[in-house]
Amino acid sequence: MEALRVQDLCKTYITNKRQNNVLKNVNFTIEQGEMTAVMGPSGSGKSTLLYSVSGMDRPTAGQVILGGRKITDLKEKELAQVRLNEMGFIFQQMYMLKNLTVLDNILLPAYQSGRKDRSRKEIDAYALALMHRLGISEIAGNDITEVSGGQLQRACICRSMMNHPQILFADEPTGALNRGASEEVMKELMKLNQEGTTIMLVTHDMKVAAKCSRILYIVDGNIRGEFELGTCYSQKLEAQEAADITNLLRERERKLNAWLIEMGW
Amino acid sequence: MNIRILKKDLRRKKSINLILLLFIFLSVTFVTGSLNNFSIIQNGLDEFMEKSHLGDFTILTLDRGQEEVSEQNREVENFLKGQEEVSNYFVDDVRYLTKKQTKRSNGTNLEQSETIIFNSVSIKGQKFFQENNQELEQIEPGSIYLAQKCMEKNGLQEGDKLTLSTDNGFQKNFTVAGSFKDVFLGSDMMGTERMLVCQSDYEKVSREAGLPSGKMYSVYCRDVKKFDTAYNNQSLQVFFCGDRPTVKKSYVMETVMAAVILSVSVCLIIIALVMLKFTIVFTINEDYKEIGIMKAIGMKDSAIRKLYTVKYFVLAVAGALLGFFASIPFSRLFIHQATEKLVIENGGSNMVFQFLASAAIMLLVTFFGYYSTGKIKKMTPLDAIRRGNNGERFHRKGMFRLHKSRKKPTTFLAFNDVTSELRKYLVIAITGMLGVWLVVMPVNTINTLRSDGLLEWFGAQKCDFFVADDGKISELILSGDRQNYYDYMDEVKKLLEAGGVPVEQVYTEVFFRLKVRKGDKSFQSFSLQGLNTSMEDYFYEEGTAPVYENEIAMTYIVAEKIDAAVGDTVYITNHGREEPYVLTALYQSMNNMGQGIRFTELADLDYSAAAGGFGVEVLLKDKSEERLEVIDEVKRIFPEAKIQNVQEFIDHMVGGISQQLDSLKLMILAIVLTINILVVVLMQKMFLIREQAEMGMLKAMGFSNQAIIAWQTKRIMLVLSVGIAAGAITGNYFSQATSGKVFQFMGATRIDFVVNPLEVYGFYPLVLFLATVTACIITMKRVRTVNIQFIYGGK
Repeated sequence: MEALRVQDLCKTYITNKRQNNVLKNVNFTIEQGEMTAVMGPSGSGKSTLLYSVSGMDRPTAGQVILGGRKITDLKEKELAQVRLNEMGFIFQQMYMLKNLTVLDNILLPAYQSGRKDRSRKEIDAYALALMHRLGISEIAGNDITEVSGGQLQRACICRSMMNHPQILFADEPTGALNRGASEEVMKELMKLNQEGTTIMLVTHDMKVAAKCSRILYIVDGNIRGEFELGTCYSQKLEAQEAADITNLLRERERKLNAWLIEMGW
Repeated sequence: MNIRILKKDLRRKKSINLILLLFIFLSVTFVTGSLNNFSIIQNGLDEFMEKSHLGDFTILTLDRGQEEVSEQNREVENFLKGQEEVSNYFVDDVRYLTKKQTKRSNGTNLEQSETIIFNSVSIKGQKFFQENNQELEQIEPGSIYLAQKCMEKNGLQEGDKLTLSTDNGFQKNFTVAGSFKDVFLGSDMMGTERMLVCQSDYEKVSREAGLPSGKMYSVYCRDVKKFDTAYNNQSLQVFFCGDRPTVKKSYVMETVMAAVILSVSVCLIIIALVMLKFTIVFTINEDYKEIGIMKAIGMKDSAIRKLYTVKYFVLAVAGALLGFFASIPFSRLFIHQATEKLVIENGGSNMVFQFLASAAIMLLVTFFGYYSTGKIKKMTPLDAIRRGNNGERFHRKGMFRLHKSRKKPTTFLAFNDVTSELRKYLVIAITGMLGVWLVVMPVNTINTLRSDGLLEWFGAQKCDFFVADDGKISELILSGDRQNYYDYMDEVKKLLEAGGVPVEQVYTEVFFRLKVRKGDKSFQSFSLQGLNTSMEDYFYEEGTAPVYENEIAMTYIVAEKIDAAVGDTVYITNHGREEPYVLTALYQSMNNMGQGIRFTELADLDYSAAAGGFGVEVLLKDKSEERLEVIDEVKRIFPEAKIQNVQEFIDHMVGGISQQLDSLKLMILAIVLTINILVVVLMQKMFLIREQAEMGMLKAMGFSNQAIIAWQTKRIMLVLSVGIAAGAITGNYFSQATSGKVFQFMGATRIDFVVNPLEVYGFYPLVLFLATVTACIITMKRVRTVNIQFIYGGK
């Protein structure tokens, strides 16, 4: 079942009377439960693609269909509702409001959504459960400057999950983290994906991309190619030993690397 | 490098810099303009008095007898001749007119002061000036010059015809030749005005019209203080006596406008400096990284601070220059009224003074700008490069918890932001508070001036209206017989009752100028005796109402002059001899610059020395009667008299200051609204720049533009409402501290302002709040342009 369909997507910026076509007739589909990575060289249009697809930015032309609804035709207010209730977003910079605690930052989108189907008590319990699951429940009452980058990014993941989104977008989610923290974050994203959340992320990191089921390679605003790696967690489940998992990931990285070299990486 | 940074900054924050420039410009214009006006009026008055050869003392007498030289004139002349301190004095003849005696060619009376002094232009004691500041030396026979205030009030033009007619059948036509400037009687607070004709016309009128006569003594002294003491030790019967400071004081209303503008400008400077500080801190925070790099490569703190000060120096210079040029017409605009009355050179502007004032403000802004960059000194390169986040954290910022609050998220965020970073919002609160102060001040003053309660400070008892028949008042004064006053009051009561007006009581106040002494200190004081009044009905600040014939009450100002206190015995010269009186009460009055001694009705005062009166005061029996209809009926019964209700009487007594303030109130409201709107727009623009990453993030999270605008607006609303509420609560104290001074000039030393809660706590704060919040919402339209990319620094 399709989670996201992108048709003939174009994005053009005009700077100093010069037209810059960043995205040129991009077409692709993401199936529900897929974890897709967008890769490509710097300036290829990866982030622009992510913003345009997620409704953060308006494309110049083309369609984005999320869960069967054309979000490119929505008014700003309706689009905000879609962002609030149907999608989650994780940034490279772990942005949170500085005057709120970690827990309050996580709760914010849920309180703002104002949905009647759950009480504030239930929301609070869900947030704490999410934090517990992601291993950050001890920092709930902390100020955002009192926690590590890895913890903060996991808090951002919690925040993005508060309204049970259909799809999660992530812009270089491990870009500002050290190796250990990156692995923690990716582990959590994989868990969420395993539970059924569709994920589309942009990354430069081969290790991150190797954990995704599919890779889209973008060059000069066009999807140059795509590569199916298969779901990582099903293979992981089959593997019984840690050494096997490491080997499995190495194998996926090697395959991906070969393909990327083929693509001109 | 300085120029490059300056250019970059000016380009990047166009509107913020523009608003700062506007504030500096307005501050310079207002401060320079109002200070210039103060200086011009104060210095101009001194020069005008010199040019006019105004005596150090001017004494006016009113002849009561028919002799060539009356008794009181003889006494005055003998006194002057015997004074060593007097270097010289001139004596000029004057005639007294009542306003009924001058009519337009169509037979209508002129709107004029109660008493008019009719003079020849060729008097020795004072010089007069034309509108163009040229001395008025000659007047054509048949022509008449009028005071500027008389021309204005009556809409008279050069060439208009006037007729002077008196009870003995004398009639003479005059052609209005223009207005003249009269330093002695030119101010609105002087209840007397002058008319000037040529010597031959004056002599003819003096001979044939049968007008009351008097003398004007212009006295020049070697030692004014000694002469003043000597004069106060006499008990001369004079109509009026005033020294130069008294004349100067009578022009105080000309400086009210300048004083109000000056207080507005002081507030403006405070706001401009607070905003400047905020803007600098904001800019430094924005440029943390650049500053860090400059520090890391070894630039000195002072050099970096200079880089940032350059911009504020350029803004200060531009604002000061623009302000200097704007202050010239601005100053002239507000001094216009004063220049019509005073002989002021250069049309009311002192370029050097204005330039120096502008330069002073420019320096103040620049130094304050440099001082505000002090934060740079405290920053280490590491601090700066990490944009202030060095990993250390000593205190929590947020004071409240979203999950414990029941508020909507946008309301919580607004509340939490404000309570977490109070200093950031202080300027908005201060501006709101100062705005309310500035608006409430004229509102309270006007309400106080228009309250019936003010009546008691003019020496009048509670009444419904005044019947002032100038001819009759003059007749009563000249008669010198107390019984005539009672007879006249009976006559008025009977006529009113016959006309169906339900009269409760008719009373009057008679004025005297009497010498009061305690020990070796004496003073010639304005004094009053009420006829048909009850001493209990007057208001006293201390002590109890006088009851017996030898008991008196006096104002604080008179008591201070002779060092008297309640319970003291003082000596008052009456019927040519000193009589002891016990001071039983103290009160305050705005009559005669705060002078006053009040006698009981039992006191036997010398009515041949009476100097004036209010006319007859009437208290109605039935308050439910429509007052307007009653007053119309009274006007029909006394067609020749001036009928004034309480408000008209007070307006007349305070020289129309409430109307002046009324127009000023609107101007202040406009200025306050502009200031508040500009401050909020500037602050909001800075918040938009500073918080665009947060806004981008909230948008990405699914917050709509409306929700973000609501968050930002609620913040401003919260801060503004705190500031405005603080302003409304404390505004009355500000009125006391500022406007109370105006009342002090008039003699009321302790004033309780009349506060209209609906205006002070409701209408004006609400107008200020709504206008500012609306401007804030409009500014926040820019939120629509913020998108996710602003998280990474914006595009």
